[in-house]
Amino acid sequence: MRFAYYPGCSLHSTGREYDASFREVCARLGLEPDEVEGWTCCGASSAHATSRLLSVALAADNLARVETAGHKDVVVPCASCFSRFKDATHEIESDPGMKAEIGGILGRPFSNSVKTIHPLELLDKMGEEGRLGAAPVKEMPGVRAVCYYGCLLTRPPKVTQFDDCEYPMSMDRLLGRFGVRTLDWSYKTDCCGAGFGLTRPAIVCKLVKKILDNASAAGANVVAVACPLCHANLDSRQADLNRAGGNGAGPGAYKMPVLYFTQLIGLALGAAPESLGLGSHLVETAPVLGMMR
Amino acid sequence: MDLTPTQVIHAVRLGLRDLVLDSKTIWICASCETCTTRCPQEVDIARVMDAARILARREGRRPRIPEVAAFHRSVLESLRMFGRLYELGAIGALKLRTMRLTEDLDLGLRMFKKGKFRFIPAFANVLATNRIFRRVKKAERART
Ligand code: SF4
Repeated sequence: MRFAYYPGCSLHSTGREYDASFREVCARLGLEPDEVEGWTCCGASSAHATSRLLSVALAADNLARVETAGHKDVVVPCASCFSRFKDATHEIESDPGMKAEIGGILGRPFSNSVKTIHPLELLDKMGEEGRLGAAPVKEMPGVRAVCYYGCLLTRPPKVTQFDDCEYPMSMDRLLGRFGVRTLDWSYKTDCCGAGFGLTRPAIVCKLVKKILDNASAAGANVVAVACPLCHANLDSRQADLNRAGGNGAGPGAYKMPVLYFTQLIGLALGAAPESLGLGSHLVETAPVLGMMR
Repeated sequence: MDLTPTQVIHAVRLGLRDLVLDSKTIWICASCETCTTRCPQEVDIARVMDAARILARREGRRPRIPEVAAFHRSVLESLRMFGRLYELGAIGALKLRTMRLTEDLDLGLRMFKKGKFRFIPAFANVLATNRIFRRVKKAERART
């Protein structure tokens, strides 16, 4: 199956492992992502904080590229890009004058026909319909994962139309199909502080601490994520938390591996850890390999 | 947050423009959309926060959390220059703007060692992207 693929800026830099592991999983499941040619930044959170029209136009510019390439769907792994695309589509649909205005700004016709899909939706649907092209070859008896969905996949539900907005299950279901045991917990859709890592790290540390503490309390030894920004915050702030005294079990106690769900699926499908980018996380991921057989 | 989201909405209803536009809250809001999702009256609170940030900037108000405004400026600048976000460049610009040069330096270095950053920016459709910025500005000017 072929579909348009929009990696976005993060998956080409700080979230490179997400791109690598997504491609690896696609190859093993017989999927062919077709990277949108000449894609540009969707504007992320900075465009919509600056100008409504700009935020819609920057996302629509890329959706127009998908249309031109003749695709009906675009798969977008970054939760932030996903939310910008969904928002643009919704905005143009609900504001009658917007489509013409955006067409004028882009300088080419735009019919707003492309559907934005997250890899979780794509793979979950394939699983539901029994169309996943490969079965797990590795077992992960030691893994107890909690699935962290973050903010922008599920919210606002009217716009993203993704799973249940308070207690989503698609990642849990999907990982379960690959033999990864997932646990119930309370912080699935709580905010990690998003882009404040660069401007207000103290806020991010506070939120990350709550998330990780609840993950541990639930008995997890891995956190599975689906967003490069969530990953950056959860992975990179553990050293700060340890410096600030750890979690009561002593300093140095924060060492929770944070893996993209695509990395866990890749491992289950027998991909080499290097090809999934497991070596480029800040918190050691080796313990996860020890939980497999 | 100096005002809770509820207080922001109340202040908007009372027309307390300065209170809202000069608040810290509008810059500390992370756009997590929890409030919008849960509001029983379907008020799009996150969008109100966006609108307040946009108005504050348009009116030339000094942002109460300057580093957040500087962050957005640095990101959009990078986008105009390269068509894509050049993280190292944008972080550099942000650090210079806020003069917080050493904060998180060790984290930056550790990420660097893990090969998280691109050294060389990727260019994509720079001219077309700049055209979008210009046309948006023009359309918005015509409206006000
Ligand atoms: S979007 Fe999130 S951070 Fe912003 S006001 Fe609403 S709940 Fe608070």
